[in-house]
Amino acid sequence: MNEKEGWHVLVCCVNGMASGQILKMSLEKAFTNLGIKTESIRHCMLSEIEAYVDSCNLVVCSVHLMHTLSYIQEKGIPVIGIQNLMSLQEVEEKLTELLKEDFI
Amino acid sequence: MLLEELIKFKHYKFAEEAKDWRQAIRMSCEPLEADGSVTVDYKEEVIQEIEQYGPYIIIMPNVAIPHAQEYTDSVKKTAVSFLKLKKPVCFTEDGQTKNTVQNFFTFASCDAAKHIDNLSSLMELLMNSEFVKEFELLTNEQDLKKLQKKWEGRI
Repeated sequence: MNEKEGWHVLVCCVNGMASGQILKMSLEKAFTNLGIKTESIRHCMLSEIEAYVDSCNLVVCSVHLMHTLSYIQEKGIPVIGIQNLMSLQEVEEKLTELLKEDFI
Repeated sequence: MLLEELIKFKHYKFAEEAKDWRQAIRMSCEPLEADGSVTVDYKEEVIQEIEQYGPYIIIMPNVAIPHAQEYTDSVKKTAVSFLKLKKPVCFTEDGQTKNTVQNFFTFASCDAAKHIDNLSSLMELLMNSEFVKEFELLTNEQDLKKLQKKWEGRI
C-alpha cells in the first residue's frame, strides 16, 4: 500500500449482520489504539464482496472464512483472518504484523 | 440492555447437553420460537449456513452467535436468546477446543437499528474480562438474574 493512500478496510462475513459487525467494531477500536488513520472501514456479505473489493486495500474476516477468500489474496489484497473477534489484542497484533510488510 | 431483555422475554435456556452442534442450534432457537420472534424454519437456515461456511459464528472461546440473514421471512421480531449447555458441543469432527462451545447467543433481526443495539450491548459485556469470568460460571436462571443485576444495574 502506498503510504499516502490510507487504509480502505473491508470486513467480510457470511450475512453482514453479526460477526462482521462485531469485527468492524473491534477493528475501529484497534486502529484507534494503534494510532492508525483509516479512510474507510465498511462491511459486506460474502455474496457482495466483488462489488467492494476493488476499492479496498485490506480485507478482514473470521478465520473460518479465509478459505473462501483466497482468490482475494491472489489479487494482491491482504486478507487477515481473526480467530477471536472480541480480542483487541489479536486484532492489533495481526494489524501490526501486516504493517511491517511493504506494500507498493 | 441485553441481559434485561433476555430475562424479560424469557429468551434463555439452560440445558445439560445437546446431541451435537445442530441440536444445540435448534435448542438455542426454542425461546425465540416460543413467543413467535422466529418461525420454526429459522433454526434450519442458521444450520445450513454453518454447514456451508464452517463455524464462523464462534466469536470468542466458548461463545457462538448463531444467526441467519437479516430480514429473512422466518424472523418476525428482532430478538436475542441465550443457551447455556453444561456439556460443550464441538462444531468440527476433530474436537478442537477452539471450535467447542457452551454459550450460544442466537440473534434474529428484522430491524437493523435494534439489532445493532443488541450486538453492541453484547460486545460491551464480552469485552469485559471480569464479566466473562462470572458469565462462564452461569448455570441457571437465578445466576442470570444476579449477573444482570450486577452488570446492567437494574432489577
